[in-house]
Amino acid sequence: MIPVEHIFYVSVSLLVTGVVLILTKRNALMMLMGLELILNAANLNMIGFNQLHKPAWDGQMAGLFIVIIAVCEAAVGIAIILQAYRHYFSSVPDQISDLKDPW
Amino acid sequence: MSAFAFYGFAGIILVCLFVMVITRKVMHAALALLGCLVSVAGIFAVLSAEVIAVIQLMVYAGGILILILFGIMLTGRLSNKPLQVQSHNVWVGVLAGVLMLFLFIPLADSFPVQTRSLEDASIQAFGITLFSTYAFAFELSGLLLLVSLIAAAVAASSRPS
Repeated sequence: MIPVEHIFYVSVSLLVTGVVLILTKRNALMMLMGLELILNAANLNMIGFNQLHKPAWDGQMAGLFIVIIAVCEAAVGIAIILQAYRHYFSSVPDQISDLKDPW
Repeated sequence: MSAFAFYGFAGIILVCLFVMVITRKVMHAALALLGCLVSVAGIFAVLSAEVIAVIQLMVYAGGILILILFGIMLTGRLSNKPLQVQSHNVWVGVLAGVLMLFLFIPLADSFPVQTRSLEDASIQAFGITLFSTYAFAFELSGLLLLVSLIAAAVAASSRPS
């Protein structure tokens, strides 16, 4: 029997690492990896808390749909990163500043 | 036995997360992400969510990680050296991380005590629920996958429109 708090701790560590990766890394691919970690944290919480409410399946179903949405997001995100790289020759979001105020 | 597996997977996750934060090579971070995702799939299996565990292995470890590796390969070709990534805003990141830890960790005191055992999960019941109660959401997610497939193919194509 695994206490639900410990599942929650693992999930919090995934979430915090994802946020830290998005805030600190300069490469867009690293930010995408942080996003995957955050979605995984949500997924882990869904399935962990579903344990408290057996035999309901709502948490596991939500986990399934989170995985599907993560796939869509990753596919479209990497396509956009590739296209931006082709256009700006850089995958660093800070260097793509066409819309920034010039002063 | 299952508790042993859970804490083992949790340890692997923590190590991989640490590697992802401190490494400067994107390739190493992607491999650490692979370890992380596989360990999360293992935790799902321990928590008697076998279907989600298998889907996580196939979709994340087999699909998304390959996509990310292709992204690393294709966005590093102009510089002819391994893709390196610098960190910036380190103090903002550390501050946000510590703040979130202090926000979330006290929440764990308010959880209800778990009393039920986990042996009543079956894949058959999962499938019946998926195709009866959640049939509409399932079909809708299929549509979403199709739309995102077309969007990714169009957005990544090199032909000028």
